[in-house]
Amino acid sequence: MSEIVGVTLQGVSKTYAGGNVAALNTIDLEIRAGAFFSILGPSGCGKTTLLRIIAGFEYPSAGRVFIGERDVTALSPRERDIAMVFQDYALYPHMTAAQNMTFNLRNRRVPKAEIARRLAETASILGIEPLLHKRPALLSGGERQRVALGRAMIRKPQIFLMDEPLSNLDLKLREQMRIELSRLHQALGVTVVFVTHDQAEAMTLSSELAVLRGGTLQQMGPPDRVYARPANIFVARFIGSPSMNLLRASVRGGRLVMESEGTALPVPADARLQEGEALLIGVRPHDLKVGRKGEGGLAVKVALTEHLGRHNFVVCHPVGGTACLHEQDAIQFETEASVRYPVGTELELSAAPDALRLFTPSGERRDEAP
Amino acid sequence: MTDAKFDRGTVQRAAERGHAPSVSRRGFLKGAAAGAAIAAASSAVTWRGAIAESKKLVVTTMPGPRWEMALKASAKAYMEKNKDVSIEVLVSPYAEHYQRIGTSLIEDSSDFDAHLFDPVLIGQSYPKLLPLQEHFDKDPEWRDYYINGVPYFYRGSWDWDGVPYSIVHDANCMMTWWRKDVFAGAGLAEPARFETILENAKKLNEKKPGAGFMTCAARNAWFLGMTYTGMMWGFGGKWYENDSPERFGRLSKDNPPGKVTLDSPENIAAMTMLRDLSKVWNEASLNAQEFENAEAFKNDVSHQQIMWSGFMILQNPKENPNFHDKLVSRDFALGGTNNDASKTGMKGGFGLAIPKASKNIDLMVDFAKFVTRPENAENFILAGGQPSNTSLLNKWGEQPQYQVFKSIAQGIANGHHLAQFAEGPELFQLITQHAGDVVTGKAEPEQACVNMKKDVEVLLERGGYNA
Amino acid sequence: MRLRRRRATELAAVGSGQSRVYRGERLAPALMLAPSVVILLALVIGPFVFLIDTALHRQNLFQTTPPRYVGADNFYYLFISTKFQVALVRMLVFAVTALAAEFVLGFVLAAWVHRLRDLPGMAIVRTLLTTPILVAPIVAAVMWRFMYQPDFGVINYILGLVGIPKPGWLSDPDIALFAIIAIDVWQWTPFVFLIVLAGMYAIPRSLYEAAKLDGTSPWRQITHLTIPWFKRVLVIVLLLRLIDLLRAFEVIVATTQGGPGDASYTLPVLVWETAFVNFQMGDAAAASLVLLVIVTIVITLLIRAISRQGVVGQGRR
Repeated sequence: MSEIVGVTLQGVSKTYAGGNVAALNTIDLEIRAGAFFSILGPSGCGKTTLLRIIAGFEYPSAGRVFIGERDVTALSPRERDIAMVFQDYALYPHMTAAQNMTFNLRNRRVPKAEIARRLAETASILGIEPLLHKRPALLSGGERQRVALGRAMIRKPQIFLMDEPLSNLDLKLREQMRIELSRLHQALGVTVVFVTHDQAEAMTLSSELAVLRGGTLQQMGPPDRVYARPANIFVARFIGSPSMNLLRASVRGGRLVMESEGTALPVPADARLQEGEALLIGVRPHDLKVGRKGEGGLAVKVALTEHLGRHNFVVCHPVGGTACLHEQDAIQFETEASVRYPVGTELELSAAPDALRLFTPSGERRDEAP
Repeated sequence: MTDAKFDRGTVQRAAERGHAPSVSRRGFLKGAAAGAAIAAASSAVTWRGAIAESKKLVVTTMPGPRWEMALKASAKAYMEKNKDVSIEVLVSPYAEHYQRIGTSLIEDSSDFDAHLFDPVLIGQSYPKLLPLQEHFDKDPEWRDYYINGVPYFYRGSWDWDGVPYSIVHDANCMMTWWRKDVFAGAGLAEPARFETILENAKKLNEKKPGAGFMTCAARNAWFLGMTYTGMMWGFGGKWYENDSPERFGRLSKDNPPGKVTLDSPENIAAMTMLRDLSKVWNEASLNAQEFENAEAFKNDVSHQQIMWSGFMILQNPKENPNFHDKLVSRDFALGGTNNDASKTGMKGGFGLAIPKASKNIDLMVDFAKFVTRPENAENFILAGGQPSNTSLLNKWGEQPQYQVFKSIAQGIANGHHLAQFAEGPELFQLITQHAGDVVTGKAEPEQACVNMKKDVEVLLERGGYNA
Repeated sequence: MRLRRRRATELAAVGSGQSRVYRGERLAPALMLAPSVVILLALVIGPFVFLIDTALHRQNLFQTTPPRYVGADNFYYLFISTKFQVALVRMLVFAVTALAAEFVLGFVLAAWVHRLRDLPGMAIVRTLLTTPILVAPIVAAVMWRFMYQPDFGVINYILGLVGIPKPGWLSDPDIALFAIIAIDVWQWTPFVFLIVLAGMYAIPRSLYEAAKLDGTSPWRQITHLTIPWFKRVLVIVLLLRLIDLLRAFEVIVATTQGGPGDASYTLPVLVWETAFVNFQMGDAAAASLVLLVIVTIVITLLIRAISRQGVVGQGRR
């Protein structure tokens, strides 16, 4: 097995159409050896471009790419010792699963016995021995996925790249494959760079993730940290489902007062805020609690309840109007499954001070003193 | 009749039929010219009275200056003289033209008043065509002008059993062309014999490769077949036993052709000459079309060719500004053991035949006569036509630009005719095919002639000509 | 049973008018088929029967005598004639050589254009490469005839400038057939190129990227990826071209008419010459039937051979 190494991107930019369209803006990334690193973002954010630059299918307009200590910026894909699992799997349709998996080894004229040994080994890890003689057309989505993984694994590359490999699977299979990928990553201990637009996938699989938006890196770090301390309101809303609620407030008399109606929330203990400062308050749905009437929470009226089995999501509108909401028209919170509010019920919502995330009006994190 | 020995000096057989005078060839040509001059002066009065009412004529033809253009110019002149007549000339290419003739005759269609076509069809079509003798006799002046001016061994091609079914429209034959300035400069002899042509070719090639000799097309339009057939005749050969000038190359079941003689020593000698020429000729010859041969003369590429009389345009200063006055022609060459100057070459040409079903017979006969008259000669010739009457040919041939007409006047009296039986085109295919084998090096002359004979025998047998 | 039940329903619904309705229903399929049957009879079966009938008669269009029944004579004389044997060989040489050249060139061009597809100006290159298809075949043939002319043609003019010996492209019996093949290749390689290129564009980019990562050489990409991927398209192009080439005609007639000698004399030229130069309709019908049978046999054998190989996604590899 090749030595396990990481990937480093230094100031990588990519522009198209003669420099008019920027796909990537000066990206710096440090992917540690053995990490399961997700690149997360909505479609068009540049995550696939970034992956293709690492793979060598595209070359950066500026910046450098390192695999381990090796500067691979100018190297062709085949010189980079990487394997990739494609969104559509890209299995060779006229080859059997076994031929697909061993094509690389055959290209490199690896001895036949060695090919057979590695094929058996890889197939057994993935549990696809019965599929080896079949062509892709006869395989299910999940089976194709495994064969594609097998094709990548059998080469024992330094880096695994995966481009939304789970997006073509149905929900159940996707969850299954997530577990499988996690298991494989732990078993093989290789570096994986995983591109996805599905934050849940990124959260569950990654040891570290990077959030991209419009070609710009928003935040990078372990998933729990990014979840807990989003760098800006984009990350805050992109990570976590349902999205974080964002409320407009300002600091008045040591409390956070809602724009529209003067409802006040307690200020987080560590925040050093200035009197009169305008803020955005972020609060995740599961952190909002229904307080008793008259205790001074945010007055809302229930519009809809989504029953999800173990818990419910309640969608409600502020009684005082939506002026207090930032780029959303309703507030969501989570309750136990057993708790039900009829439509029209008026409630007062509040949250513990340490559950509040503060952002400047322009959307940047405002935890520390200015 | 079958074993009639043809002697060109006295046109005895023909005279018995009452169509040709019994004079020597030279005298005949001279006489014809004189007769024509008289006829030209006196005939203008009679032909007009025949037209009674406003009529429309429809005449079919193939494209090209010798047929379409000359006919159209004649029609225009005729309509100017006869304001109540309109003449439509329908032009279509080879296959369509003959299909149209065939179907319209079979169906007795009255849509057409005349077809301009070669005599190859007379044998099948004469029962549907108007016999013209009676119409000739109504106008003795024109008749004498025509009969005396168009040699019997040319005109007779359009006859069947001594009855004329066509008024010969134009005259065409294969002949030798050369650049007289080049020949004079190099001291070369006039190419009257193929041996001379070969010798000249070699000498000309020494000075300029490809200049010595050119002809056209190993399969294209059967030109090679026509060249070879002319050579066969010029070398004293025959197609078959009963091949004689008065049979006009015709075959008939009642009058069988007899033994095929395509492997006779004369024919083999002609084939050998063709092979020898092919070794020195301009390379383009094997696939050239007429225009390419013309370009070769115009651009000083070749200096000696065997070609159709249609090359006459090259003696026109406009068509050939550099060498028009240096290009000359003569009758097809002789070769081998043959010294009979009246027996050489290959001729062709078209005649105006009137379907019996035509509703405008008198008018059409009048127009056909007009086409051939001296007073129409200028329209006819300036449009690109080559008249059939030797009096016109010899008279116009005095002008340098029409020198070729003198060669035509000889050629149409001397040359062998195209085959005039149903399998005619196929016979030419076979001859071309085997001549092609020789010039492309696929077969030796003797073998090619034997093969050609075998194939022609099969053809005649299948056609039921030799039982 | 089903019909009877239906009929009972109709009986109930329509009452006295039932039998007419029923008959109409039964006739409807026949009536709907009728136009296509008539067209088929008129355009295919009728002429075909006529062709066979013609082939059994000796018939010259110039003859006023009626066609004479000669049995299989026309076939017999065709088979023993050297013309036919030559024409058969020439036809096969023409088709196979041109096919091979068009495929290799079309494929190489397509692979080249596909590889460089992202370069600016490739759209223009693509368009330029396909223009020969737009030229009418007869025009192309005449144009090439002029260019091939040994004394005035542009090709020999250029060769003359360079000082290379000038061949008689269409008049040298050893070269003529190949000079005509070159015309066909010039005109129809773009067709192969276009379809192969379209096939290449249809291959997902990711397949090539996967192949690159798998360390596949460009040559192996073609042999192990491109060709297997659109074998089916290739088969169709191959068949289309082969059928076209076996009956190639205008390009030959417009350049050499089968000559010089019989250097470019193919079976279709023989059919044309027999029918429309010699007007021997019986012989021509026999020859064209033979041509039809040969083309059918070649195509059937080819389809069998190829389908045995299997196509994308199924069969053995």
